[in-house]
Amino acid sequence: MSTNFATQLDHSLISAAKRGRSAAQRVIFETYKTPVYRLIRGLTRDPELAQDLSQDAFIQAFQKLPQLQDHNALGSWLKQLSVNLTLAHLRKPQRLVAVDSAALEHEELPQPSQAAAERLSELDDLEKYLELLQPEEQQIVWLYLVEDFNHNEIAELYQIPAATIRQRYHRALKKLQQGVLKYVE
Amino acid sequence: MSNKSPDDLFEKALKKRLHGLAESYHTELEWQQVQPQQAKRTSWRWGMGIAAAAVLTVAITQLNFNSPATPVNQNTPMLLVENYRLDAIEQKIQMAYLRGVSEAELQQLWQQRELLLAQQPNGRTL
Repeated sequence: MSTNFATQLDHSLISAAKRGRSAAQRVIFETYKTPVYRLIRGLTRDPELAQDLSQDAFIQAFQKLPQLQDHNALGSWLKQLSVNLTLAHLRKPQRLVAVDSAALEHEELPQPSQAAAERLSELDDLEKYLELLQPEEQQIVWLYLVEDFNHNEIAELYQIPAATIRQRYHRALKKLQQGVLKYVE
Repeated sequence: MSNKSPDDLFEKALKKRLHGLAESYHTELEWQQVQPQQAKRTSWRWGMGIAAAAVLTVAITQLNFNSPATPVNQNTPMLLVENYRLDAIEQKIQMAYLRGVSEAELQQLWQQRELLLAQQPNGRTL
């Protein structure tokens, strides 16, 4: 279950798109625009920014398409390009947002996950709830749980050890578990 | 990318909720916004080209400033019809790709498109 980058397109269509055929490029765009947008929206949590970055992703994709060797890998190639472009944008100084979540981190360990899981299903405003996490933690959780990246792949994207990613991921989950129990009360 | 099975109840519940959230996201991005020749987020090379074209236009305008007025191109409305026909053939091409028609049929559609393009005075190109 991921956001549908797995859709396969005909090889002759991809070849035509690589040669700059507009109609073929449009088929690629229409096929992947929703997965690209959902991925970027999940990472940025900002609809307008996600729209702009999705546009950039496709412009860049069509420029780089002739470099694509394996036509079967179009979806994962586009997914990787979208993630790289988004993370590069978010690493810019003006996009870094300092969130003080120290208080949450030092609170007691959460109750058993069953209670938290039940509360989670009752939660209305999921977007607001995700704000409990720092942007990087949100991104790691989204990449792992929604886009099916594993910890090693995420570690490569951030250029930090996989153990650190694993640690941050579990810390993020812990924060969310703690958060949901307080949030619904 | 990986086959992992979260054994934690909370993690599973979170995964389900996040997938639901992702499915609620819909973009209004249109093809015209990313089309390589029309995309607004252009590179500096395109910027240079546009600047050069603007300079050239100003220069030509200045040169023709005192020349007799030329009549408005009477063929302009026809361009709209041609553009419409071109859009229609492009739609056909896309549908053909989606239906997986033969290479010969595709070739024929591309040729029709080339023919229409050639008839256009302004030569709209891909």
